Amino acid sequence: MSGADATDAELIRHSLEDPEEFREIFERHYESVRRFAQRVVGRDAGEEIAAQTFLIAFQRRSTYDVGYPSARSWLFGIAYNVVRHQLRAARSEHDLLARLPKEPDATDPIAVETLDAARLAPILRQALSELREEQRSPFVLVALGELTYRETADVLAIPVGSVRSRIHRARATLRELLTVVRETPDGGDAEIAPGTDVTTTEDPDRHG
Amino acid sequence: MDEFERIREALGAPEADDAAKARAWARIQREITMEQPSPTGAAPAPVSERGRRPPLRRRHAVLLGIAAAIAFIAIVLQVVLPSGSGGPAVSAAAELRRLADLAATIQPVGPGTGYLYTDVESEGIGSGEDVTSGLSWDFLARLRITRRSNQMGPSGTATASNLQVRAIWTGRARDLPRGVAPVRSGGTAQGDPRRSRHRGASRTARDLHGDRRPPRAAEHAVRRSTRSARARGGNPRDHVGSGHHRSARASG
Repeated sequence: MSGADATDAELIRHSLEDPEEFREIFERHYESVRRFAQRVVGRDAGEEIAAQTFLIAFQRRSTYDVGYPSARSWLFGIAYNVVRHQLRAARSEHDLLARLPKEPDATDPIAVETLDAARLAPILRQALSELREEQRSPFVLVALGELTYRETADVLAIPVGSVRSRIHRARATLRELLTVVRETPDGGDAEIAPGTDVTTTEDPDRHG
Repeated sequence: MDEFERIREALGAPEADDAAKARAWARIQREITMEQPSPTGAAPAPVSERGRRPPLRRRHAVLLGIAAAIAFIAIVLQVVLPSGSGGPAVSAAAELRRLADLAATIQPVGPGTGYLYTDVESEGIGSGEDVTSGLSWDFLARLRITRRSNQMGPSGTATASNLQVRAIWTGRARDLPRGVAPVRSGGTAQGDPRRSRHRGASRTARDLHGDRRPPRAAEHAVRRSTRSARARGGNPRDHVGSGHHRSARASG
């Protein structure tokens, strides 16, 4: 069966007889899984996690529920489990995140909106690591994996409403954690939250 | 740019790396090759038999089981093995072994399996009276009473087959402790006009006929009785009715 028009479920089912059919699944989803993994754990570890995710998916493809036409939630579920396993292996997420390379002045008291991406990354990772797991999981999948609320609910096996409320709480917590103090020229302090000027009022469900 | 986009931009992700992608697919390709039927027609080994690590949950269950087993063994060893200086002096196992050795030395008590040997050494006050002349006297005596019994019944009772009473020491009544009155007996005309009565022997001498305890335990009881008698006054002669006995069970 040619892969172009087939759903993920069909490809996976056919790959049980012709394993080469799995190649199309790999081509469709590898990049999104790689980006997600690298955003969470960094470049090298993310690359390994992406490779492991597809290897595990191939080995377990016979257990795939063909009732889901798209394998995206399934693959991200595997990827997130591998990520969590790696983080646990590193003793704690905090330890692993703390080992990620940091910019020399990442902790300098400067305004978030003036930070470039490289400087904000370690601060963000630190803040993410301090989130409670029930908030971090949906937030990471939506924010870094670019999953919709529906897909995230499928991955975590929780209702969509729970995903929405947990992400809401995660965003509030993150804003609090990411508040940095900028020393003003006249000596006064001004608190600036990273999301203050960029917080969207859009419904994240637009992704789906 | 919304909040999520800003975060994604901040955390970033390297550009697509074709080499990394190729390496990832190569790993799957190896897996595919292993799944392909062999030219000989042999079926490929199931995925689960190719050295894959078991699922995380199963591994956790196995680890949990191992931890529980280790904890159980530790508890058992704590109970069975002799403890160190910080624990009790005697372990349960050592105590059980000691009791087992003791039990092995105790012969079962049953009908006709032997005889009960009771040896009582007793000291008491006696009095005598000549009914024809009206004279009376008091005396102290130490007697040795040996009783051999056999035919022990299931209830522990025995039939006396031999009883020996032998005076091993006598003394005069003036040795009586203050406040102790001699026993006088009127006697009867039909009886032996010269008779004496001995009392006090039963104060500590214990009749073992009804004692169902093992002989060794009985010996312990005898030793305790003797020690306590000595502890009270030192010389058993100074006490009315003091004495000791020992008993033993012998074969034959």
